[in-house]
Amino acid sequence: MSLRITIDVFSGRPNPLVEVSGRQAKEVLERIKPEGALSKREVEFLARPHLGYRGLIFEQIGVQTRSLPRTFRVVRGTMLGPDGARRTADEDLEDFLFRRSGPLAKAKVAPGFQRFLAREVVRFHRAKFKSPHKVHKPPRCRCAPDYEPSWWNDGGQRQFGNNCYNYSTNYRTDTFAQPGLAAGAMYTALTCASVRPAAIADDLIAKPGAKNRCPEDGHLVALVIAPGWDFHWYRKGEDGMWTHKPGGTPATNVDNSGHLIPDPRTADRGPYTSFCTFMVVKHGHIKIR
Amino acid sequence: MENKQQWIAGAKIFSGRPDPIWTINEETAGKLLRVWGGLMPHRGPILTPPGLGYRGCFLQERQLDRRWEAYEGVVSLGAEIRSDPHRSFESALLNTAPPNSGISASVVLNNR
Repeated sequence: MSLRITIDVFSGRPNPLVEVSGRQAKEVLERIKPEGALSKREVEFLARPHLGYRGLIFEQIGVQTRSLPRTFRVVRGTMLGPDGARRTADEDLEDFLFRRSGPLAKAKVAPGFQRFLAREVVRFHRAKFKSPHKVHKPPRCRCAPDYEPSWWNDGGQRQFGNNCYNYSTNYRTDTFAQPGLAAGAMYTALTCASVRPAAIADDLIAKPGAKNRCPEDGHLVALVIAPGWDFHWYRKGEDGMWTHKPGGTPATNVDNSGHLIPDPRTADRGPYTSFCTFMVVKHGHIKIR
Repeated sequence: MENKQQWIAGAKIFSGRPDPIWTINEETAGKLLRVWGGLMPHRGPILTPPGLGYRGCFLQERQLDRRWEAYEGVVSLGAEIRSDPHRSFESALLNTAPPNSGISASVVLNNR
């Protein structure tokens, strides 16, 4: 009987592989022996793709122990197989395998690999069970517009004729509205200093100190700039989250990384690297074109 | 005269400003079609552009209503999808933009 153990740690390079057999393999299997069950949350966390150390992949070669599947993963004192996850008899199994005289000490990849691996294993063992992309929900904004993307995303005139400025101000013009144009005071440069007063000329109200808080009246919008290139607007919705409409593309509630937007200052904004200001839109008060 | 207006090209890039669109002449369009003609069918995944920033470019023949779309090494004409690993079609198309538009392959593909 022998065991092929792959140290699942790399992303670009092939993972290192070690084979153990005979008495050593038997001892390893004794330590793996499946015991108690895990919580669903714990299993989801362990099975989720990670960068860095992700555990050890075991393959049974030749005569197989029936109590274990042919291929399974061991990580953080847990055995994950095709039929579910169980705690291993020895919860410190990885320590045993990686120790100086352990079976995996002979995995030689490059100078310093063992030290790198030891740090990685500790990092993964200390990682907390967190739900992915869990966003702290901000307070609701009673005067803000609902997020109703289907109304804007009609694949026709409404979608293609209205940009981020239209969407953020919740004002359809079908003209790809430009800050200041309606007031005869359009921006002259693609800078915060030029676009902000143009929006003020359209009767948006500057609130640089809004700090992502809902206004008493109207709703909050945010201006960001791709310096010298373009401007972009976000709006804070009734649920306190931010949404936007990049040009003629559909309105969306996620940023360039696909995450919900609790605060545009910290969102992935692509080339719109400069956060300019928060502003308030009072309904029926502004005029854009 | 009508012939000169038959081909248009554009970049999908802005959010606040209207995306730039320009006309190109028959000869330039012919060069782009030769690049298209040399591309092989695409078999891999197709990347979805991000919401903000550069989202691809297009070449459109108005008369026949044919439109080529290029993004990240993939060029499509309707259901026909071809691989452009060196982004030669996309670069050549972006380089047909008028000089004062600020659009060029080096600016768009490297910085946006």
